[in-house]
Amino acid sequence: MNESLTIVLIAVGILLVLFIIRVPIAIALGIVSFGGITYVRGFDAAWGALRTAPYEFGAHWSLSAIPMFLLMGAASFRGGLTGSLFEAMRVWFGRLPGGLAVATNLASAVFAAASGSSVASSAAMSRIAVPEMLKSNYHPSLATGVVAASGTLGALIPPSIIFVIFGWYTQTSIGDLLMAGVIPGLLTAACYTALILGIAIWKPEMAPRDTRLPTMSEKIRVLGSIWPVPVLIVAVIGSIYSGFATATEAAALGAAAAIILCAVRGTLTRTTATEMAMDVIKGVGSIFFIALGASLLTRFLALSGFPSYMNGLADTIEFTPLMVIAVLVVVYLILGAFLDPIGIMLITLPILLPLFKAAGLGLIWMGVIVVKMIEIGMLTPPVGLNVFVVKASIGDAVPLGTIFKGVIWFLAAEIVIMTLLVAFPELSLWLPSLIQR
Amino acid sequence: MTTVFGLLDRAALWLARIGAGGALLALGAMMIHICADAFSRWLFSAPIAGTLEIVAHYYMTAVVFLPLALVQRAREHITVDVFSQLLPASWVRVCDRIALALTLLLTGAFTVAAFQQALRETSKNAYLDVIFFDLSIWETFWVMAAGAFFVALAALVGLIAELTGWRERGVNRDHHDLGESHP
Repeated sequence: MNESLTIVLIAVGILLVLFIIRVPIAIALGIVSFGGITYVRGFDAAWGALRTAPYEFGAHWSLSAIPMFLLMGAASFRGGLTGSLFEAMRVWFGRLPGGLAVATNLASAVFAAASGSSVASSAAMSRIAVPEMLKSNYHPSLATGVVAASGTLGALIPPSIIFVIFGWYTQTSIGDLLMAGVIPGLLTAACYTALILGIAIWKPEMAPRDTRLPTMSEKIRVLGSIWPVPVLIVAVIGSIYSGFATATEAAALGAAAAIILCAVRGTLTRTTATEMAMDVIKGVGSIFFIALGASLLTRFLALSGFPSYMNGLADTIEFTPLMVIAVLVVVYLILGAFLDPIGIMLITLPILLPLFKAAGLGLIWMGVIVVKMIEIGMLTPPVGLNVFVVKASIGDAVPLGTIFKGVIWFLAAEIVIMTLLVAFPELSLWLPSLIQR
Repeated sequence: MTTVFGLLDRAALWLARIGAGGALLALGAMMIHICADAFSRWLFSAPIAGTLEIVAHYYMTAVVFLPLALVQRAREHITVDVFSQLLPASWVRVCDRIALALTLLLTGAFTVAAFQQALRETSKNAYLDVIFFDLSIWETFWVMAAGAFFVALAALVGLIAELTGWRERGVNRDHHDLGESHP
């Protein structure tokens, strides 16, 4: 076997053992990479990497979008936007079959325009929507499944932290990537809505109709409570699309807009500001801890000669897009079973990027496929991070197994969505092509 | 001994808080600076010179390195918990000690490396050539070194607490919530 491949495989094996004994992902990445560089190039090279790689990684303009998007999401959530959104969607769509589940799904889709991560979206929505659905005698599997699944929209519809990381790592335009996520995100929301309607019509006992009949004045009144959403959409998507701001600048504009909106709505109190600050600091710390470890992994893989090995492999085997996507599906479903999304992305990209390049695949399209696969991994057992988040938010009301049962419906819809995204790359590539430059 | 540990613990706690506070200040300043630059370019066709470099080297080093100690103290690291749930409690305890020892090893080495790098950049008075002026950046290497030291100290205190059973201030040792620490 090729020497660089052997080294990488041994490193991945040790990494998995460290994960199993619950060494933090960031520390495991750092230790294995340091050991790997020492083995390949000697201690001095490893020490040199430890001295320089973290700073080179941290001092980066485009990565500033991550804390900004986190701040935007925290300000929107702590400022009470999630509750207003759910209420507005309930009033407008509650009368449909499965109306509360449809409302939850659509509220998640709209909240995705304020939040950059699926876990944050799921956590925010589960506290509000699940109790309401359970009170209305919804089947617990549907009530929780819809929150876990629709939370994944948070990573697809801009802002999106995971797209920022993908763009930073692959040196792809983050603005293009963020725009590329819009249609797949909306498509996912539409397919989920169709699925919920289908379930509610087929098995009405799972989703009893809402008997409340809102008046037109009530419908107009609730729209007044969600006016910050269009402002946030303009601040982020609008500013990128119009060419007014780069993706990084749009992130700062979005964060500033979210805080100002909190102040205008009167929800920026000392308590919410403190909670917001803690959310952001802990989020930033846990993401960057992993990313610092991954910066060493990248250095190790480069020094091990792995990219050259992959390029050589591409000369002997002709990689077709479908082959690469098949590899992606297998790798992400396996890793998604026990790793978190940022960890999966930062561990796999150094290995997969040479494969994408060897197969001549466009990185914007691949970005969408990778993010989508990672988000699907967040719904699959045994871990399914979004499912755990819903469970953590609602406590003992619904057992874990029931939530996973509810998620299976949405995983079936994901097969359709993924097929469409793979078959029609234009779904991802059309909007980025329209950005004013 | 407990008094020494108490002092060390208090120092680690305050340094973690100072780090988090510094990161928050940098975060706020970064947001205002980037917005001001975008509007200045739009309204007056005059972007603020050096924004990209100041954001990357000053604000981002503070935002990336300074909050790490708080995450370490709160045990809010992202870990893989699915396998350890299958292990007996005594094994989990051993695993936690190994994890803390490895954390201290890596963060300790990083602290030494970061200080070496900071000294090196200081001695050569590192700067960036921004179009209109020279932006001194050696100071920012000390921000990285400070962040590394804070997190290594937090790891040391955590390991001592784990081995001796002494309690750290404000740390819930049973806290391994999968959800809330994630972005």
